[in-house]
Amino acid sequence: MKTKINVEDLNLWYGSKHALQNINIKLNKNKITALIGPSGCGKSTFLRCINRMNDLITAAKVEGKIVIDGKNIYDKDVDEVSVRKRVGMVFQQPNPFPKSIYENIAYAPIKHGLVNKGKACDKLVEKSLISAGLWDEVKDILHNPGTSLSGGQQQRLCIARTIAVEPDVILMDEPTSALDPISTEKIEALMLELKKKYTIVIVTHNMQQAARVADYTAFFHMGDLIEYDETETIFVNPKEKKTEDYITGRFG
Amino acid sequence: MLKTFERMSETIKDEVYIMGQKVVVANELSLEAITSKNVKLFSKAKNELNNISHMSNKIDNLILRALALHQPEAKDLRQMVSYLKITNEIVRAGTNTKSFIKNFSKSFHKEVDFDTIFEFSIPLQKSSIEAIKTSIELVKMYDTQEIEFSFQKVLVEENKTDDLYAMIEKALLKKLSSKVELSKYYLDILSSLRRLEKVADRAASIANLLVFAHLGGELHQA
Repeated sequence: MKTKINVEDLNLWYGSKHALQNINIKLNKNKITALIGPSGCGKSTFLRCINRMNDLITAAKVEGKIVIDGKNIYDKDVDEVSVRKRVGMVFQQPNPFPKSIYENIAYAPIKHGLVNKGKACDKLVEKSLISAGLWDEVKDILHNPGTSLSGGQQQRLCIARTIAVEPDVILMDEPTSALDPISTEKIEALMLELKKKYTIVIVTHNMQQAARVADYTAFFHMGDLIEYDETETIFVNPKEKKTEDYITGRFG
Repeated sequence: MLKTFERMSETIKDEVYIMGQKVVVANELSLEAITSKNVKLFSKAKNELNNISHMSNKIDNLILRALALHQPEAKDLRQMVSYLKITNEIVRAGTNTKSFIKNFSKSFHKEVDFDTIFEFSIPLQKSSIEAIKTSIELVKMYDTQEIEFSFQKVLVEENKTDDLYAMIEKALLKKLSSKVELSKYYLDILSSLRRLEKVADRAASIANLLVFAHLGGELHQA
């Protein structure tokens, strides 16, 4: 199994609060890793470390290494914008730009200089929407506002937008918590398709979702990584009592 | 349901079918052993069942995994629970088949009246085979009418084995009272034929579980 993201001795403080404590974990390439744990356990904080989103919080201080494809993204010579281009993110609430469906996809690739307006851009928009499983539903309404789509479609639009800049890693922070079961299933099926090309890390409160889609699961508790293993092991034979208590609903 | 679960479910179904076929083939070979008077076929039949516990464990673990990772609901859940119980029923049918082969083959004695025995035992064996074969075929059926028809067929064959066993028991007890010195052989034969009747019982249980899986209702032991 090839490691895509190697996290070494990662610590994070929000002011005086030690939110992540000495996290060591290797995330595998082309696999889905789910981060689970009770609210406030540090899973979203950890997710945001992977594309340096925590740099936007002044009180946040990070120590340790996150090595992606051999390069520590916290090295001084690494620009956080280039990190976020390689490590895309999908949020809990679908958040399309107040622009057309087409522009939602085309905006970032044009800004990053990946394509120019015109045929190449049209192709990229089509390719991204196909990859996100949305093309057939929107191909005739590309110039309608992104916000006119349903919640599930908007979330797939956000995934298409993430894919458009050709990242290596996709981070998903509770991507289906605002969606109905049908839209959730579409997103989950999409994740299973996307992992063929991307490495996916997902934060979820829905343990069934972690069980269904993730190859690996990491359980966090109070800023500690308690257990990390194949999802089957975590859900059938967890090694740590805390993990078992959490997944069986005895706390959290 | 996600494709990953569908694939898992199909694999489980295929494995259950393959496992069930082993019992069917073992019973068919033992019938052939008797009708063709070729005792070697008994060991071939026994060999068919060598791996059955291992197969059952493998399927049960696949089911456990499917339940843990996919939390199936409704028909998917009924199927998983049914398959989990069916593997146990198939193992029991296999054990009964082995016992039949073992006890029947060791009761060969020149003075035992096999003509009378075969008059009942062969139809008993055929009914038992028909019952288990039909119940295993049910695993691959989707059409409700077809399922209900096959289920009834299994019940009919199972009833036939009950009746045939009762008849052979009566006939053999008569023989036994007239030739007490052969009682051990006759009792072994009776015991072995009882196993065939039990194979049909297990077939009825499998069919019952598959009807539950397809059509729903209450889960109960046949």
